[in-house]
Amino acid sequence: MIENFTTPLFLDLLGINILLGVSWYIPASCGQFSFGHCGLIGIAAYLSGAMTTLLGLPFPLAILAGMGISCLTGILFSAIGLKSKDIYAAIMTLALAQIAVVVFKAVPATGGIMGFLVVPKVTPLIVWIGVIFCLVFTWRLENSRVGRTFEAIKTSNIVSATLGLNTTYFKIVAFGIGGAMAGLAGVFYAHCISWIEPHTFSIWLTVMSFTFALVGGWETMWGAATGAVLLTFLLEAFRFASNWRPLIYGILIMVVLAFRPSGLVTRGNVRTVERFFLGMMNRSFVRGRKG
Amino acid sequence: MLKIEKITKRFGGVIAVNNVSIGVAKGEIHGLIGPNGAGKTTLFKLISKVLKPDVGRIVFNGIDLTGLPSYQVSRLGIGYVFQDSLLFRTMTLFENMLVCGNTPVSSGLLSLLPYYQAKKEEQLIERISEVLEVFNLQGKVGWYPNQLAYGDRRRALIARAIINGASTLLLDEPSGGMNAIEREEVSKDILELRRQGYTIFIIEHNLRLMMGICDQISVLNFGELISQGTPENVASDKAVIEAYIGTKNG
Repeated sequence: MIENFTTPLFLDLLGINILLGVSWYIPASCGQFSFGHCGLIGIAAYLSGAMTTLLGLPFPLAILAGMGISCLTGILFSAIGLKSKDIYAAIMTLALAQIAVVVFKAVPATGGIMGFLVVPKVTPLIVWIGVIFCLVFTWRLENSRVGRTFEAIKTSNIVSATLGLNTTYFKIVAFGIGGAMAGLAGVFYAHCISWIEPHTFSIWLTVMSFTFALVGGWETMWGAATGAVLLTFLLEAFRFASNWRPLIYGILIMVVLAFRPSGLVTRGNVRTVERFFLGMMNRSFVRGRKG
Repeated sequence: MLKIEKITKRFGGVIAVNNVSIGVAKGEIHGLIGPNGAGKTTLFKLISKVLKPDVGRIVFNGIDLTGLPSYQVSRLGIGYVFQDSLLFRTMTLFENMLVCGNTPVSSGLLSLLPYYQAKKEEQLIERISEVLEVFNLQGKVGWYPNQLAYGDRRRALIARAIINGASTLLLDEPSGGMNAIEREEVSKDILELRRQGYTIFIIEHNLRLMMGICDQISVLNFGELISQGTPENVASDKAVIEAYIGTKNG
């Protein structure tokens, strides 16, 4: 079984899943739940796949285009969704994602309902460079004024507005950043699996993304990343029961929500680890000065 | 100068605020009192644009606030300090002070760039230290809201509004839930703020505190303005006494 965990495909999928979890977490960190994530991933996958395979354009250009289109679509989703409130906004993003799937089916150039073959371009190295870049970016975002603003808006939209924060702007920004990251996941997915079809980008992909964040913890990006790693390993270990995958997801969500609603990794856990490392650094600094 | 002109707010069939006009002069402490359900908090929410009025307008320093969203009203210098302690619970006191949209430091995406606005950031931190010192909170910057005493949380909310650049503070029951000693401290803080030039519009149930610190008092009852004037005049107003104590007929 260990061999399964070291194959290039598994390493690619592990990285892509981390991107999915973190990209869903970013709008959630600003209090926005996206059910339309599958659409954002699909749009980037289709566009980048068509660019490299049908038009023969370079892969880096396809990455930029995929991230760009998903970022813009995320902004559009949120701008339309924010006309409604709370859960209605989230449902509206789902409706928009379903429109994207219908469009994928209707375009003959990309194989319609059958999908099309994409030239494989990614290696685990490329995927993990992307993952590390996104994790560093999100970590920096979380610890910046923007991250604190997201957190404030998530805690109380009204109080944030009375503190002079343009909450609508920040929610749209959060969707845009999450969209770009979901787009990167979509580009990698298309060029790793090599076969994309409309069915791949169904609501199931959104469920996967938010399960990573819910199980791992949605108070910090480390939660979403941890959830993605744990569930990817778990599902690989239970490959023999692949038909039961939705059941495993359902049970996990119920168990975590019942016993640990904030997920496995909470903000408090992250702060404890940070304090531990800061303490270690301080001690070694003092020892260095004494020595 | 804050001018509330003939403002009305309805919730379905209930008129929460009915044709109310109040003027709050620059640098004064203006009290807003009235029995429970009189519409005091609703009026504050209308001023800060958390709620939109059905009729009437609010003018602040010559600017009509009609059509402005809440965050722009805040940026004009109106700081709403909520009745419930609403510090962000997952952030330390210091981080709570940093979450302000009206400081010289940008909250936008440019702030992600390393060393961007470092100088302004330093100025902001200096300002936070100054304000927290005034409110005796400087030793608690790393504390989370649940570790702070109730009085400290209330003071922190006022400090945050000041750091955010408010020149007019809407204080909704700042001494609510406090003991006599804490109330005394709050009234001293408010008088000190007035001395520093802040305009204060305050809701309080503690009438003794209000009579001691306010320059002007407005009284609401069932959404209507029933009296307005100096504390002495308001205290002897028959309509106010009836609103609080009731008439012979109940």
